[in-house]
Amino acid sequence: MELLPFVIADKEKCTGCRVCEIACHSYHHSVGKTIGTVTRPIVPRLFVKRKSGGMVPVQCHQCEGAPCARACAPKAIRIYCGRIVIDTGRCNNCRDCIQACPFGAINLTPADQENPCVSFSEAEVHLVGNKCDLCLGRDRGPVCVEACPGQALRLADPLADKREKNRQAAQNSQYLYRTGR
Amino acid sequence: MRKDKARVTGLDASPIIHIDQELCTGCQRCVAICPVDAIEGSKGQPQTVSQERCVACGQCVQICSAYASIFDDDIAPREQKIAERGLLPSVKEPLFAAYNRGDALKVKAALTNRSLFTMVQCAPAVRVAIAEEFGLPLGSLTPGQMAAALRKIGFARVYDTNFAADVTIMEEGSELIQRVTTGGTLPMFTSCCPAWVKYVEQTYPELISHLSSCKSPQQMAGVLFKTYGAKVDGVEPEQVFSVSVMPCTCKKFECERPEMEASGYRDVDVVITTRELAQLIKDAGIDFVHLTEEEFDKPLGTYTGAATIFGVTGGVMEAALRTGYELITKEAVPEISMNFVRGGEGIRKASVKVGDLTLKVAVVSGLKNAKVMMEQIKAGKADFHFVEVMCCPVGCVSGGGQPKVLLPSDKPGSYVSRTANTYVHDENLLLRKSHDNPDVQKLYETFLGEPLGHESHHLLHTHYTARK
Repeated sequence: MELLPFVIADKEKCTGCRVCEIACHSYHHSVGKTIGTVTRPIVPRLFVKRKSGGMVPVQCHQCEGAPCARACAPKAIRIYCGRIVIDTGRCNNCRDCIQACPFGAINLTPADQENPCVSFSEAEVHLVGNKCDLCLGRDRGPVCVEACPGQALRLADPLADKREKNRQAAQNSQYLYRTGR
Repeated sequence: MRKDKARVTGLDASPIIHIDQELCTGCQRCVAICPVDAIEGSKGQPQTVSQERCVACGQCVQICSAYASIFDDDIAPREQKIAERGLLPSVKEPLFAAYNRGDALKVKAALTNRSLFTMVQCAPAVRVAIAEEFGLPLGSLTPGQMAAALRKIGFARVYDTNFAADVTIMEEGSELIQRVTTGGTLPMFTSCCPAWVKYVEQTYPELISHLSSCKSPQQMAGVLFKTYGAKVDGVEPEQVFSVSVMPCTCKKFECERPEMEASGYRDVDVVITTRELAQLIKDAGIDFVHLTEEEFDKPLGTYTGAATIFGVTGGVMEAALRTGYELITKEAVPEISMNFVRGGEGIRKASVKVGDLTLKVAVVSGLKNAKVMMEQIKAGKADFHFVEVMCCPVGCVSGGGQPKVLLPSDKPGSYVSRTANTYVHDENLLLRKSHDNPDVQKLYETFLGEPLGHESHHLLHTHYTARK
């Protein structure tokens, strides 16, 4: 059984600083080392949002029965290398995936990475779906996890987490089970 | 929209450091890095800057990562923010909560005003960082391209802060010798860092007499532009528009200090940061990366290696020692490169044998470390002759106006590269000691007389203001 890993945030540690969003953008777009080299709006694939008592980033949960994949008419969304990815070559920006995702994790962004534009209102730009791909191609894994100044993000492996919880529960409940009657 | 309360004022009542209340998420990374605890607010709520305490160092601007996202639906339009911040409309980069007032529009206007004779100076730290804004590696050393770009955007004279740094060494070295030999107030502190100066004025005004009376190189250059420089070019001082490009946001405050008009006019009319210069260059459509290197103009653009190391912590001290040693012993210093004063954030101490005198010096970087030093002085425990203090982590190369690194993990590397290339520049220059600068020698022979003389005192020295 395979459960796909995904990035989750510890809402106690998140301060809402948005470094994760900037780091995400920097990995997926060609920018230099400084802000002055960024000529297009920052388009992250995780979104820091305010919730009661703090801030927390929201991003793709890499769902096994991914609603986005099921909704996609051109079959542009599928599991690849242990994550749900959008094949931007097939995407026809019909937005069904955006409607299907319960987390709002998918956005449309300009397909042409080299073309500087300042806002999405430019009608000629070709848009395609865009979502967290756990930084496909990056050996050290998702850049947001590394970049968070408060270590509030981690790449959760649901099966490993489950095994750890089982182990903890067994440890803690050693006096519940008695031998004999 | 709530107005922010950030105010650091000089003549111009417009605050330098601001926090945009719409963008600030209250993460408080700025609070942690502010050396004077000038930022206030609750966690998770927009922060505000205390006008009285802020020293405009801009470290908050450098660290702030709360940007205006296109997915934020309840914030003012970008055009409005651009206008509020005094940014050129052509600026494309993301906008952050903590920002400094923009002054590039004033420079652009001056450059198109034919009745003005524009002179510009750049700090040593600018030439090891500006190329970063054009995609070149962190710390790239590009003085020649910087000079070429300044000429291309239309400055009549491309002079340099480094010339004035050499002058500062002549004045400050002489002042130190005078204090040491005539029982003057010791330790003497450097006064080129305006955030440090404001900090002394507002936190330890009783120790103001320890500050060197020398102006900073920026201000010395400004006053020389409108006096000596105007003479050299045969222009009226009131025609001269004096611009300074700095790695520092506090220099905007410094140029507005009421007393900075010894030339009879505002010595430095406007200060822009390294980032703002890059924006002006892009606005003019100049391809910085492919520019052919050019020289700075003479006489006020000639500089030595001693001047260019002012941009890093320990650099002012090293430059002062290279000249001070020779002024006192009449012999050349044995080792030009002095590793014992070089380093990073913190307090470094050294004893230097200069003839019969053992000069005890200290180098401080980071205002929190300066506080430690000040307390030692008050307790009578600071046995030093000369102390260099810089507010920013590794000196001006890490200043509030420098190119802002995207990822926190790249920040240390940017400090290392900019620092290393500053020393590389020094090592490759023919002249490495301030007193060997022929145009500085000529300045004294034909105009100033001698260090600490009447003209110097009037133009190049200043006084400070208790702000408690």
